[in-house]
Amino acid sequence: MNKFQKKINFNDFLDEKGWKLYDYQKEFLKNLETEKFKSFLIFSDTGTGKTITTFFPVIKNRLNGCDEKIIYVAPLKSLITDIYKNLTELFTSFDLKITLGKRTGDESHSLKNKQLLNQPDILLTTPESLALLMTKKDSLSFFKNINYFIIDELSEIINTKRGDHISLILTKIISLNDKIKIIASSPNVNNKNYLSKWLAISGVTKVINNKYKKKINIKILYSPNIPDYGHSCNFLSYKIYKLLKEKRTIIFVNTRAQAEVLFMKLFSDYKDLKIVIHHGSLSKEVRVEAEQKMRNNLVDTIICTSSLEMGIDWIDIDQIIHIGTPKSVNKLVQRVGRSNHKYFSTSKAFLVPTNKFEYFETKACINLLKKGSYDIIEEKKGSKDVLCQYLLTLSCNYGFKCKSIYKEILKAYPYRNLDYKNLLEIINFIYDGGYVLNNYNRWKKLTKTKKGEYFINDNQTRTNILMNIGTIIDSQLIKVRNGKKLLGKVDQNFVNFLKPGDVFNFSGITVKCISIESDQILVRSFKKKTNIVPIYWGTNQSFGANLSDEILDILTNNHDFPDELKNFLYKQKKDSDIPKKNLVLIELFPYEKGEYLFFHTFLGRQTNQTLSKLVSDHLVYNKLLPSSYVLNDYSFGLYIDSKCNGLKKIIDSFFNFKFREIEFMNTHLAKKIFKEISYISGLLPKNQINKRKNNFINSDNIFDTLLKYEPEHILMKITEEEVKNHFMRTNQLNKFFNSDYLFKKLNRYSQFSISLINEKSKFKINGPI
Amino acid sequence: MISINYEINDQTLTFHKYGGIFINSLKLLVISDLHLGKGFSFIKKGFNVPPYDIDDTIDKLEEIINLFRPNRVIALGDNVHEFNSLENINHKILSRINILVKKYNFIWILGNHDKSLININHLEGNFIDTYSEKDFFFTHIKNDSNKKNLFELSGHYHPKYALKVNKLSYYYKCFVLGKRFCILPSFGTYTGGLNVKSREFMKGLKEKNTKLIIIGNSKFIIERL
Repeated sequence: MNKFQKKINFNDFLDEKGWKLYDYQKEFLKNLETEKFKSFLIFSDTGTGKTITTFFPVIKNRLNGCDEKIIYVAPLKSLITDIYKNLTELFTSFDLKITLGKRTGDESHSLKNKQLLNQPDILLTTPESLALLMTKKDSLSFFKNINYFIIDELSEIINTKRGDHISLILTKIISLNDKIKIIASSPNVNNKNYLSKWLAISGVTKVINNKYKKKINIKILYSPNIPDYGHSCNFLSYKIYKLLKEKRTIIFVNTRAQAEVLFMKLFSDYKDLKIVIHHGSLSKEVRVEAEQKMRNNLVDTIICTSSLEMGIDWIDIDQIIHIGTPKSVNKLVQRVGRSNHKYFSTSKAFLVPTNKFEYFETKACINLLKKGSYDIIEEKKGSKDVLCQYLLTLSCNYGFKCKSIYKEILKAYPYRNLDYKNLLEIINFIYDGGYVLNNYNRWKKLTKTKKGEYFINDNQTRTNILMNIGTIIDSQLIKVRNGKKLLGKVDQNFVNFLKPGDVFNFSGITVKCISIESDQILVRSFKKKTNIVPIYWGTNQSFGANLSDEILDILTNNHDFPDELKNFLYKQKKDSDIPKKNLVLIELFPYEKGEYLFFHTFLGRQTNQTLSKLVSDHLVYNKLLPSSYVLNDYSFGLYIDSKCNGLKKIIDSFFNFKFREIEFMNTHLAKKIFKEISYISGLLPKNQINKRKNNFINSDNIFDTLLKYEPEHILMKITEEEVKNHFMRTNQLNKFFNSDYLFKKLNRYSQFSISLINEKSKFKINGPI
Repeated sequence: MISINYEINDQTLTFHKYGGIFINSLKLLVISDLHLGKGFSFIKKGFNVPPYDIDDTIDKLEEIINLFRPNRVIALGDNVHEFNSLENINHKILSRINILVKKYNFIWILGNHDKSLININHLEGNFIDTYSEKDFFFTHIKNDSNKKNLFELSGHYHPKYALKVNKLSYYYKCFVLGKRFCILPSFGTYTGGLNVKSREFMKGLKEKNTKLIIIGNSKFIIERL
């Protein structure tokens, strides 16, 4: 029977664990009891126990004999797996009868059904699985039992479509059960007010700050043979190797390709290292195996992408090595916090710049960290395609009425300004398409009851909706198989440039591509060393806005660099120039068959996005046809297929031509955004029951057709709104047009532009023919 | 540029950017893969795509017919998307098609999508498996089996070409032109395409020395496959 016959209280429990409540935890528990607040927001740095703090109420009350239920939502599956393990260990060691349930895309149907019949005390889930739960008949009683709703790592999702989704779902759950208390945790950010308002769905949010700052010991790992461009860190692999010996290390890299390349290098050159690889392209089995090896001390080093940056609680990590820059202070704090994941210990980390320009980025990141200048989370307006999906989900079970659902939706902070007219248009769209003309027989997706409630019409539609829940639209992923074994998935873009016979690194082994089929690549493991296809896949990261300014500052005011970097800057200055505050550097140079026109603005990614559109329109107006562009936080470059003369004049006229109408809808970006909207809003299926080739319509075709025949349709309005949100940064634009500019015609690429040409994925403007 | 002329076996063929071919000597217009009613097949499954694909397809058809004023129009199969598509298309739209069909003597070649069509009488014109006139042979899927060595025109594959510039791919519909055959791109608005470099496409082709007439946004490009 019970090993602990005597009843223990919460303080005994803490004593037993050797834990002492920190001030912020005391403050949280005290305020939780007062019934004054319905929502709580805990700000505390990584490695200070904020996640476990959110579970304290349920543990405390259970020890007092209260039966309480929790839903815990986190953005990453790996985070959920880890919390599940940690909580299970904790509860068994105290023989606490708190039942735990995991509910993500990885769990079986039968397990999920059992959870509905026999509700676990703590349900750990993702936003998508929670949305699916709402479509189940038994979910009503499930939600009515809930006492606490926890959102972990709020700052990660708040300004994304997943955040919008969670916000809407929360309004529904609260309307079903108004006793729920919401608890969210987040690392420190610059604008806490936004998060606190977002959370205040049913009353004022109590913000709890942990003022303790974790000590961080951070250094740049530098080697004089640092290359001019590229993202491989093989040039200092020996230095990395020396750091790794005898120490438990997590190596963070920015792209999956980097992970593979570094792994191969270390694995083949230094046989005494015990090392594994972990990233999102790998199959679930491979990832779980890697996590377990690290956890059980079978290996000392794990190379990973952002796949492991949150929550993973391996206390005995000695150090972090970060290849390249994390591009944002919050990311840096988060990743570095993985080492010595204990409250008063010092985190130790090395940043490894892989090319010369990256050295300045790394330095800027560290400077900002020392200043304590955290990221600013930009406010996001609720996306209406998410609203379409949410209403469809509701129609599968609860149903909805126009007026009452409107009142409910307004409580979600991202949708607080939603127009009733807009909502009706959205309802019409999901009801029967909402198109003006009907060339086919009317077909209704939903049924409207006499009481004005909308419900789903038939089972096929219902299944289709359930199969397509979620707001993360990955570009199409292609399976990589070695015989029958699934190694993982790669991006369609990568496959486009792959031929049978090509050799590449994947999942820590070298493989040769045997054949490429429509939905999979067959490979065979490959022993011989030959030319390996460079692999550049992986997603773009979000950037911190304050980084650009810091870099400009370093470039102008700091001269304390290693010699190679002084030379690098000297060369850049000799060939072209160094950008300064309020001075935009413009470069034109030949590249392959055409020319690149580069703007070094240092104004942030989104402003560069807008500017690249404006410049490209201006070029087209002047009869030059750019076919693609590259961009990052600092610069953007337009690629023009042909040689161009007289560009100086065109640039002059551009700067004198400040205010113009931007035609958003004719950009390639609009089509890209429409594609995402069409999947999220339920216009097109991401997944289908019977997948046949004929049952596919390209979203570009639909976009063109809609633009031609019904440009006023709600889907086009949603697209325009999203595109505008993407483009408009008026302040930054004014800053650009008010600054001076310097036009330089070069014989070849400059030091500053070459790394961008080589690193980033390119974006289309016009077709070349 | 909306069309381009090309000489084959002393005959002038005009390739139109919508994917039609006009055989000048016979005053004959050839189009392929209209997939009428494709939009509805989606709507019925619960995906509310705009129902304007059929307007757009007919608008384009009227435009190309008005340009060439042919004696006869031949549609190379997959004219209708699903066996029951015709019963779900509005009468107004159907009568718009039927006016064209009667005036320009349509011949509907039957494709794999046109098998066991119901309500086939909603559409005027002749339905046949293959057709030949003078030096030309018309069929849905390329099979090279016509006896008299006629020039064969077919559809079915929806050929498209991926143009790679500066590490990006751009897709364009294209005609595939051999010595004795031509495969037409699809005409219907919601139809997609099959990359001519893919294994699936090559399997159906077998022949070397084939040319592509690629339909760009502003010009045509002729390339070897």
